[in-house]
Amino acid sequence: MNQPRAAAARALALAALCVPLFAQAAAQSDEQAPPASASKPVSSAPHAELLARAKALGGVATWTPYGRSRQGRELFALRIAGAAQKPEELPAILVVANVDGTQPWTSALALQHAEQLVARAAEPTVSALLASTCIYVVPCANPDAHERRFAAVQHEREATGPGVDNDRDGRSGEDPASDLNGDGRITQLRVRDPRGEWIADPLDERALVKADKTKGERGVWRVWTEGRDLDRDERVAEDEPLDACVNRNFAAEWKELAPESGAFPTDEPETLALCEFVLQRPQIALVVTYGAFDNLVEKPKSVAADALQKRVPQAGVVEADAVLLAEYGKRYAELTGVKHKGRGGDAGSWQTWAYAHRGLWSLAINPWDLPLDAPEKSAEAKSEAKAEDGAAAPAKPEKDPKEKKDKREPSEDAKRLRWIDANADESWRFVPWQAFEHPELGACEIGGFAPFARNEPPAARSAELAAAQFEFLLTLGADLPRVRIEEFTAKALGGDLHELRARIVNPSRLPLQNASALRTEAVRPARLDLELGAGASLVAGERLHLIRALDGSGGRFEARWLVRAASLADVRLKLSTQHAGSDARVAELAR
Amino acid sequence: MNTLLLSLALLGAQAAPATPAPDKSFSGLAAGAAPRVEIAWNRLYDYDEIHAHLDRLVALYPQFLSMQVIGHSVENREMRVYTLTNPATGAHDTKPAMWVDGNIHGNEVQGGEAVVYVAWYLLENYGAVPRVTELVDGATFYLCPMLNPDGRASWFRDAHNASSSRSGRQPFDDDGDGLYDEDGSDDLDGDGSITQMRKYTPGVGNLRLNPDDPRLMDPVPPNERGVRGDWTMLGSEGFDNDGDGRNNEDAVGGYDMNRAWPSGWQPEWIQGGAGPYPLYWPETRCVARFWIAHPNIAGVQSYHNAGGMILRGPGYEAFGEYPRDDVAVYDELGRDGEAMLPYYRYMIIWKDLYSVFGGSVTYAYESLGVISFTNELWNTDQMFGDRAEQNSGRGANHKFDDRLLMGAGFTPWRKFNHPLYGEVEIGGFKKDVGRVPPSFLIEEMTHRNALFAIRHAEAMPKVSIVSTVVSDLGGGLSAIDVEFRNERIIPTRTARAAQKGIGKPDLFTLEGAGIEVLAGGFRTDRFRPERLDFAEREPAALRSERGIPGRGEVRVRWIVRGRGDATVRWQGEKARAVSAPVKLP
Repeated sequence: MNQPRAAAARALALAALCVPLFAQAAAQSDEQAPPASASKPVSSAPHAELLARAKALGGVATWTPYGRSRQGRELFALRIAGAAQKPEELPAILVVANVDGTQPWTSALALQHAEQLVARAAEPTVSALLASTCIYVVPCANPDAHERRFAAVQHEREATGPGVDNDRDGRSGEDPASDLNGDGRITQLRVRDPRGEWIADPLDERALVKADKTKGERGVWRVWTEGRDLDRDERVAEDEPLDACVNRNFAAEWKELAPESGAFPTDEPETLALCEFVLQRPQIALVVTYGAFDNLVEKPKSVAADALQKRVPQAGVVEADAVLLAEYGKRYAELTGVKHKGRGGDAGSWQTWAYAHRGLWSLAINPWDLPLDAPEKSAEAKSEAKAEDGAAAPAKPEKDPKEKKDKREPSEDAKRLRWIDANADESWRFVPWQAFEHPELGACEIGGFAPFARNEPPAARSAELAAAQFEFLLTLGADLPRVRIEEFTAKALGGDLHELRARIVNPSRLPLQNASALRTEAVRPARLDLELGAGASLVAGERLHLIRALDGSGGRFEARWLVRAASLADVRLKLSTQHAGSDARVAELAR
Repeated sequence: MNTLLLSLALLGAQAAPATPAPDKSFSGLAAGAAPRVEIAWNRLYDYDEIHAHLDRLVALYPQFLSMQVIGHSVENREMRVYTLTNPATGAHDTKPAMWVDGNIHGNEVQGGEAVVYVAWYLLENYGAVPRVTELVDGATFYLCPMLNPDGRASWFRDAHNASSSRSGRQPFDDDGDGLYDEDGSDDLDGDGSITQMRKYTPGVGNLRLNPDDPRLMDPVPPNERGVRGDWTMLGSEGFDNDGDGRNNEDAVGGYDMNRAWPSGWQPEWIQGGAGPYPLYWPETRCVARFWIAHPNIAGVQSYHNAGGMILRGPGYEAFGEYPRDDVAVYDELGRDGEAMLPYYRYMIIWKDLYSVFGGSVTYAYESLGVISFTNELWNTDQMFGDRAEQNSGRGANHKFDDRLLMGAGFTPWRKFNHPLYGEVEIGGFKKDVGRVPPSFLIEEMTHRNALFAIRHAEAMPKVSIVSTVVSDLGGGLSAIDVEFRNERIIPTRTARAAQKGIGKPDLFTLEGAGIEVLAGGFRTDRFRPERLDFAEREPAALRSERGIPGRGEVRVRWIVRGRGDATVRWQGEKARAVSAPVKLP
């Protein structure tokens, strides 16, 4: 019973040891001959389409539904695993996309990962990964918000749960956004108003910046989300019927009584379902989340393991973990070239809950954003772009830049516009401001960045980006902690008395438990059982060891026992863990 | 034969729904009184019996009491809420409601009886005691006798001590060995309670038998003469069932449903028993959802045991003190409670007890803005009253047990052959000693605590319109001055609710077909009518976050054009709406 399992476990451990080598090999082979599918653009798709593709996937993928969204859409995962006997018991990685709901492209990205894993399951890199690691992919964790990308009117908004009375007028949801100019997009609305806090960026009047009163600037524009003022309170689109956000509804650093937080953590069905997905699969050791947040490009705020304010922990990644996370940051930058920072905070997020409350490695990735870099472009392209601006935007007096007193940097939005101007196919990302006669406010302008402008890479970039992300994913399996019994020997001390020695080793890069898991105790310790048959008895030592901490990169644990045993076949050692595999051995006579 | 017939007749009368006779009551005045539903208040009842009592009340008072199942426990027991009000005077959700629950900790059973008592007392006295009648007509009670029915059922059914079975029954791996609930206590002597194990270890123990009472053991502190004790305590009765070298370290469950609520919730390693996320257990989640769905809840009481406390939040120092106006409300009710409940003290959880993250009553206040208390029922000081000299020391339980219970509460030490420790002695107090009162003090406990919840319910806001005055301003304009009063202690909106924007603001309206409301606002000066905090828009429907203070007034002035009949109205979440006609000549 124990023999085949032990052999399998050893094979796994060996595979784990080999992975770092072939991860590099994979990186090379990808460069040399990218698979045909990698050059196909990866584009956003509605939930129903993602679902149909996922269901049809087959091969090494198993359809794994896990709940329903608030509006009744199916929440689903794919379990991708090799031919292992019980793949659900292998150490696992979970890839989750679009918990935010505003990142529909990442859903296509995650599903493409699953499709790649299936299509390339026979390739050595992928098959070795799947022999030792189970991969779960949740392509679309927030389908209700996801669908806004494909609605008749596009609206980039996270909220899918119950609304509150945002403007405290005793009514809830009475003044939502609406597509006033009928262009199928909710953009922005700006009104000239002495109460306004915004001015046009002098370097690009399409972009808005906050007036800096310390520099004598006076606000010109009041800026709202595009919509009516149905409750006539001189505030526009300020009370949507939905407010609670799935990715603000997790328990870690949850903000009580904020509209986006939801009534209580896990009140949102999508949030609850994802929590339960993880709790029911304790083999998951590492989570990769595609969304608005990032903790790889920008080093997250770190805190000492014992940084408590009285009993409550300081928010942040525990130092020891932040160091390892930074290593992933380097690898990520190398493989993907992604340099931009993510958006949003930690409060109530899935990414933070997975790390801070469950002790999982949580890699947060924001794969793409509108670049801020000045694009390389020809002089003609520049003048062309300028001419177009002039047509669309309000008249802009030509000024000699030397006359300007302050040498101001272009605002981030102005930089984004510069990139849009330089890329002919990307003009959809900005809607030029156009005059509009508002039913409640009178003269105003509608325009600004289009919904999802910052969340969807250009089609031409998408394949390359997806391939790089996939490559990064492939490197992660080798790092998962995998403990094994490296030695279990018996020294005969005369008669049937034996001294047993065992050595447990974690050869992988990641420790058995990260610093967060050690303090939260959310990951159970490795369990080492000395199992004695009928002919053997314990003379000294602990029958059961619970091993909580075991470093990565060769961390070890040693134990000794004295047993009486006529035959060593009666002396077995069993090692079991939550998410680092298992192993078993019969004692061997020491040389 | 005659006696038998008479009893049958009485039973029949009890079973059939009867109209309450107004001259009968059971208010607490004992001479010649008899309740319509006899419940022996000198006993503790199991899950089914608690519901059976309430169901008898439903059968006799169907017009006032109804039952709903709001969810199911881990072991699939019904989570029941009984709604008590007089629907003839308005639906339950149009009235301020008092939520009363008990037994969120499975072993803290007597809260269940106290909840039943609330229902029983109100129903028995409706129509006879005017204040009870007013309360049942004007308010609603939501009564949840057992928030942890599985824990209660186990405490009655299985061997326990006074403190075990606090948790619910969902498996939990307390010792982190990957096995669930594999090493609980064991009732080795079969007395139905989990008592203690001690072993005679001559010359190497740290205890000696008390020479006056060998049931007790005295510590032997280290001393220069090298004298040591002869006895060693080995903890609770039980085996090392899982062979891990520890006894009784992984019993059934192992969590705390009163650390599971969202306000200030912290994970397991900060707050033991919290679970993987707030409201993880179905018992807690269905109650929280009920609260959220019933914004008319204006008071919460959660009965626990023991120690004689009237507790309020905050549960943790760093959360900061509650707003001053709310503290004043808490203090008034809390101090009243101290008078009503001898041996009980009004306390702040973090300051006077210990830090608690994720308690239910702190959630009720901090997230829902509802004045809420936890009463810790029964204080062992009550055993001997003021005779402190008899009531001190470790022997107090024995003195009481010996004199007033003929020693029945104690299992005498008896030898037992333990597989690991060899010969030991097993003995100690039974599970119903220490945290629940003896039978003859249960009625007093339930009555006083039920009346405290009823007193809390009487403090819920009640709004009236004191006066409406119409003044002619000339030129076809009139001013309408209306004074709204909250007669009770609790404001229509607590300061917490106002600060955090919880629930809906209060609404003050003026409506009339023949009038145009030109302006309206809250008067800031009682004597100078022009000093008006007047609304920027919708002057006919004024909103207020602050609501009407406890035992205070809000004065509203409207400036209108026109004539004819109009109606002024107040509407809020936590009191009954009121309106009054106004005539503009």
